[in-house]
Amino acid sequence: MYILKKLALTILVLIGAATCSFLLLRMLPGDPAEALAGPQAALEDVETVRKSLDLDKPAARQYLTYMTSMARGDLGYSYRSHRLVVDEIKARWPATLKLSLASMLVAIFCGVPLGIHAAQKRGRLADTVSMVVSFVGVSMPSFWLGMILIVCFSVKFQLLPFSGDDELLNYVLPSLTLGLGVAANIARMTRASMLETLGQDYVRTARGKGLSEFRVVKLHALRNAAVPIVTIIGLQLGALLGGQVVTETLFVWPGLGRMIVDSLNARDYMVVQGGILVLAATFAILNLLTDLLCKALDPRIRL
Amino acid sequence: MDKKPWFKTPLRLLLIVVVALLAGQRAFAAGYKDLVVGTGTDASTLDPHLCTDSATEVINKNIYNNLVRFDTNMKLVPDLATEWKLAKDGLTWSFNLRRGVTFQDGTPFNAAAVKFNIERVLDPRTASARRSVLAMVKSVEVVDDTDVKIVTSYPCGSFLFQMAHPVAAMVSPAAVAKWGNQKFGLNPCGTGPFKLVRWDSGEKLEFAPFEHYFEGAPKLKSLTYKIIPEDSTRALLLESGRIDVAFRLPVTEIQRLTADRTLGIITTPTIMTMYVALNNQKGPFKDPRVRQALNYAVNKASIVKDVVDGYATVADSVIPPGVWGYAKIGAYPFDPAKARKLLAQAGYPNGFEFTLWTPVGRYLMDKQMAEAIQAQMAAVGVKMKIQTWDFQALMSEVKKGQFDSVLLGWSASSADADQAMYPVFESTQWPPNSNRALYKNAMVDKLLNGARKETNPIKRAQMYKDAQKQIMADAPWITLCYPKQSVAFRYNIGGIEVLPTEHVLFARTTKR
Repeated sequence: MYILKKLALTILVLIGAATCSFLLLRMLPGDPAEALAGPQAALEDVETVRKSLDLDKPAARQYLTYMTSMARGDLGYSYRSHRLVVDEIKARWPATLKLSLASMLVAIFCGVPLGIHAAQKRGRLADTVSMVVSFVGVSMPSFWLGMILIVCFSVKFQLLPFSGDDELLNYVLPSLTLGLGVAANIARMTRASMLETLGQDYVRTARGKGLSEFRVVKLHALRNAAVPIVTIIGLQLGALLGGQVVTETLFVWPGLGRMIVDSLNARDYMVVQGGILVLAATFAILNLLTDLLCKALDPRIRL
Repeated sequence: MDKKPWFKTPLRLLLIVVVALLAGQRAFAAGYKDLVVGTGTDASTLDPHLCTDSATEVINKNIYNNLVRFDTNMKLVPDLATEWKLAKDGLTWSFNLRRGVTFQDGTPFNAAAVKFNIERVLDPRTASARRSVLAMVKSVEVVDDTDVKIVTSYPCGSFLFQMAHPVAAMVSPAAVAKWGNQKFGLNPCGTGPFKLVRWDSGEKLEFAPFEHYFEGAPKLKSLTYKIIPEDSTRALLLESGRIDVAFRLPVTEIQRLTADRTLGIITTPTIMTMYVALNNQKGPFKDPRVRQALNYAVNKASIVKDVVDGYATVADSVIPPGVWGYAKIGAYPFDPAKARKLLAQAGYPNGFEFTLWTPVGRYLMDKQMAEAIQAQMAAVGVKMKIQTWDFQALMSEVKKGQFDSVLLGWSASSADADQAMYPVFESTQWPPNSNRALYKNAMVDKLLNGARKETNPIKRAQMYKDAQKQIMADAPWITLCYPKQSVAFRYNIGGIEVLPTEHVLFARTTKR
């Protein structure tokens, strides 16, 4: 029942996202027909283009056409390449998905242990160092970090490649660039959540029973601290899947974020609208999955 | 634990031998190599009749040919036509076509194909954004297989130049029939040296040499354009040898790469003029003395030397030397004293205030140029504010014609004075058209309209010279500079052809 309700809500969210992107794009200064025809085009040529793209029709009519074809799964075609938006998304989406998952792995494997460690050594040097490291991680712009990684590992020592998504090694630098920032967020959340649970009575009981510190922390405390950690992982994964324009640009990654920004600069409305729709759907579905996962971790949660 | 060295186990040894053999065979089999070119933006459409951006035109130039083309000195030379002649009526052009040329799909290139192509551009259903380039064509007549007549509706002085424009490229009629107007751009087919193998959106375009290319198949195994949007990434990939050629690098990167001995750099002029359009119908700019004063106030030589590091030349006319009809008029010298005097005469002894609109990153060092101009204006008492814009938003606003001044570039892709001057100086072309200075001079109008319909090149050149002289004197623009372009490549690459139209041809490129 919950899932059905949530799915119905998701459809509403998608309609809202499609409407907002449609309206916002049309409020933006700049005109797709002019952008396509180029700055030197004769006026009559601009009008020909406008007509051929149906942009001479009233906005309300364009909106209705867009929404009805969207309901049939048709997201229109790119003004520039005449490629179907669905095909364009299919071509870009896997690259973004793979990079996001790789970055999330980096983030989880760095962030969670760092957070646990900091919580265990609360107030001591290790805690301070961990938190300073994660503070730096959060504040570091990914553009800068990516550049430094490229210069160090790819140019100076030529250890790792940094462009394209065809080989596994290509994932190392971009996923570190994205993952480290997220790891810092996860570490801070893990620490806060662990501190709370480590002070609980059942943890004292577990210690009292003579369980090893490892079992106490990993099995008893972490499991109970997991809900906020899973929540932040879900949110951050959503953000990663939103396409990381800067990182994708820097590492020549043919992802969704770059597609949306390039299309926005060229006022290729259909591609931008399609891209935003996919992002909204991703967020909605991830939210749903996170909720379900939290429920599985803590049966007390009522959905 | 296995104590043998890792390579001594029989299976692994076998594997190594097989891999080595395969690698060796591959190296021997193909004497030609793969050429990888780094470019900043993905192609928009590979249909030359619909394409409007120069970044894609550069790629299309390797798929298609025109009847005539430019060489590196901007001379018109035969391409698919071997000879041409204008009849005495000044309207009928006869073209003799190259024999035995085929399109990449195997169908023949002939007079019927020429007729099909020109009519396709003119057909409103094609919705070509460059239709106006060929709009002077009245009819196309197939004489026989290799002879075609094109009749214009008026004696058109720039006709041959228009035929060299990217929109006049010859595409395969059979392929258009097969794919339709919408899908042809994804399945291009021309007569050019390279044919498309694969296009991964946002990632790369892969081409194979066309074995029946009429000037001989290119001596490369493949040609790949990799889309690398970030300038510094493109430079780094070139330095590390992962790409062979890099397009459109900024001045800062070019400077750094010049020191690298494993790289070569070709720097050539372009056919662009960078200028500040002053709104001639607004405020102080109505007075020509004010506009002249601002031209005296700007130190063009310093901008060329300090802002763009020599990657431009000072503009000495409103059109650049690569454009047919160019006449050297002479730039306004840098003379702040004279600027002050002219301002005082015009009634602005204490200067005035105005706003300059500029895009960011669209043209060579555009914002930096605006800042240099701002400082030079301040020196003669004129307070100039700068407003930066996203390019598409800027163009929409400029069309309303309400601005004080705007920094832009203009280049005529037909490389002829008509397209270089008529749209930007003729008085029926005010915004929303391209005469962004809202300039009006009856004599210039007469010259530009007359030269358009003059087919005698000597008379035509004289008319454009007179027009340039008058425009420079009226100073509707602050005329700035002609930017240069650079293409950087690895030391083992040879035979790259770079044209002032910013087209880069790889038909004769080799890789050692």
